[in-house]
Amino acid sequence: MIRRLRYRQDGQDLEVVAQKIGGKLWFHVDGETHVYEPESSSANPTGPAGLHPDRIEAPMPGKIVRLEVKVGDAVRTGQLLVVMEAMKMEYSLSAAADGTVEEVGCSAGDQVRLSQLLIQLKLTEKGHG
Amino acid sequence: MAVKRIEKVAIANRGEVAVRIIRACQELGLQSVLLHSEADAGGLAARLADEAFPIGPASSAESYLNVEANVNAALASGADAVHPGFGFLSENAQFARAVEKAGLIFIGPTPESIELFGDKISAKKLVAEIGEPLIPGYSEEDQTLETLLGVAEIIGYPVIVKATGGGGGRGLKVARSVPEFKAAVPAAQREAKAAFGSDRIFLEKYLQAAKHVEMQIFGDASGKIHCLFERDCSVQRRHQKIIEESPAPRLTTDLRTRIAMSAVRIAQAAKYRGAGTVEFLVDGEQYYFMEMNTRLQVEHPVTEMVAGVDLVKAQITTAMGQALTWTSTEPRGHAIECRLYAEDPYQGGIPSTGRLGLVEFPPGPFRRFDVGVETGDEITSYYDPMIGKLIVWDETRPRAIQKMRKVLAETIVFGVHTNIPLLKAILAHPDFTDGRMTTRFFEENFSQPLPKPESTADRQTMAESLFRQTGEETAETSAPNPWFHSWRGPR
Repeated sequence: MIRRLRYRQDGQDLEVVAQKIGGKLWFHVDGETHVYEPESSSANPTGPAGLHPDRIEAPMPGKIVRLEVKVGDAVRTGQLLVVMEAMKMEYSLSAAADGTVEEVGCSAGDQVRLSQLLIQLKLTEKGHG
Repeated sequence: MAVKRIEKVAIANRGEVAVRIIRACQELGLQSVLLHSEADAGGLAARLADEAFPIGPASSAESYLNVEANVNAALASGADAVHPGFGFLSENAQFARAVEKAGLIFIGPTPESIELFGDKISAKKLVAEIGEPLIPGYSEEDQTLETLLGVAEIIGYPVIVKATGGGGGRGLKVARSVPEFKAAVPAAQREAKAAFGSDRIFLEKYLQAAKHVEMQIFGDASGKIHCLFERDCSVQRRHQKIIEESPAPRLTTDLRTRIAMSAVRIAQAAKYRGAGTVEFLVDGEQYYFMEMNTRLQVEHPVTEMVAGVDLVKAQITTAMGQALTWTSTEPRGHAIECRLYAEDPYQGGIPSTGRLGLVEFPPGPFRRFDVGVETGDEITSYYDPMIGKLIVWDETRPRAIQKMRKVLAETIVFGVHTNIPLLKAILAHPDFTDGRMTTRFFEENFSQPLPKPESTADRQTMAESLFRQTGEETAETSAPNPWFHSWRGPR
């Protein structure tokens, strides 16, 4: 169902186009498209990359081309961990922090899902001084 | 060239370019046959074509890249010509040969031309022989890492590592140091092997502040080479073009003429027939030949807008043996194209797949939307996540930018995320509006994901209210609400 409405805000009429797809509301207003999802149904508990530098997840569905590390390896920030391929391109996933490889959730040649755990790191505690 | 009859054209491609070719056929009064994979059976192109023939499973390797399946389906359909579009088999000489061997007309250059320019080494040899400028590089047979490392030192970092058979950014890496080079070589070899069956690579000096300027040329049936001016495609991400325009900003008339003449001489030396693009890097007053693409280009619409031609129809009539009557000698006004991708700009451009909800483009004068999908169609992970191309024309570059901004603001795509916020940000960047962007523009300014705009309290209230009132599949019920009243647009 596609809804076209007029929304009054600060005495101004804004045209809104809205459609609910798969529990999310897509709406276009004032030249921008937004997606709204009620807080309780948020489907992404881990959040975007960077918030959890110890979890390296597949940023998209694709194929694992190469694994550069194994369980027990010490890794440095920026070190290449996994090479994956999706949409005809190779993507390199690197460590966002220093640590040790605790778990490897894939092997070369695997097809992986979006957000699938690829590498679990145990981060090195940062000392002071 | 003898006059040949074409009544039915088989299209060995998918998506927006298939739709583009089908429409050209329809306007010329020709029948069209779409050769499609299982995944595209119900797509827009299949719906528009007069006939649709399956050629294999979703995976490109088994369908769109399968020479035999495409030739057999074209024959079975009763087509007398094959248009390869761009990408897939469009620059595959073996395919062009197989099409001709089957007694069909290949709408494109000769297999010899495809071979000559498809191999970067033979292409550069030709260009060097006729004295046109080349970038320092290495393309010899010795491909050991040791030799390659030595050559990279001589050329000087940064160095481009590229698949010999590659195009469009595939198998292409830039190495800025010895460790990067050591990592890039095996990766490029692997991608080259997977994509083209050969792991041979070549090296080239990476120009730090160059513009990508390409000349559209066209060899007609009488043997004449036409030049339809240039396109600036400097806005590239990982060597994939995002925004293209014609004419190129900040290109002097003198330099334009010199580059155009180089492009024509290169095409003449190859006795080139059909649509082709000669790509150059322009660094100040210097320009260097990069490669020649022996096909229609994704960004061909901007040339069509400023030159007042239809390149796809010209390809078809050239294949019929008709000469062209084009006379335009300079570009008229300014055209810009934005590639609309299904991706999340707030997560670094990760492809966004799924079923499309509402898809709507704002009509208006000199706005063109080359799109291969409609509401209800699916963006799958099998193919390039490009939804389509937005093209505008106006009298001047600033006007064309203004128009594109308006078009981007009014374009609606629901169901998948799009790069519209990124395109808007690029169009607003001073380096772009001044026309100063180089091939490093994107990397320098947009390598980080766009910051997600904060939701305002007003918009949050609006979203919550809309969410409660909007059903997924049920018919619209008129909700008496002080905030909303139903409104139906003109469409």
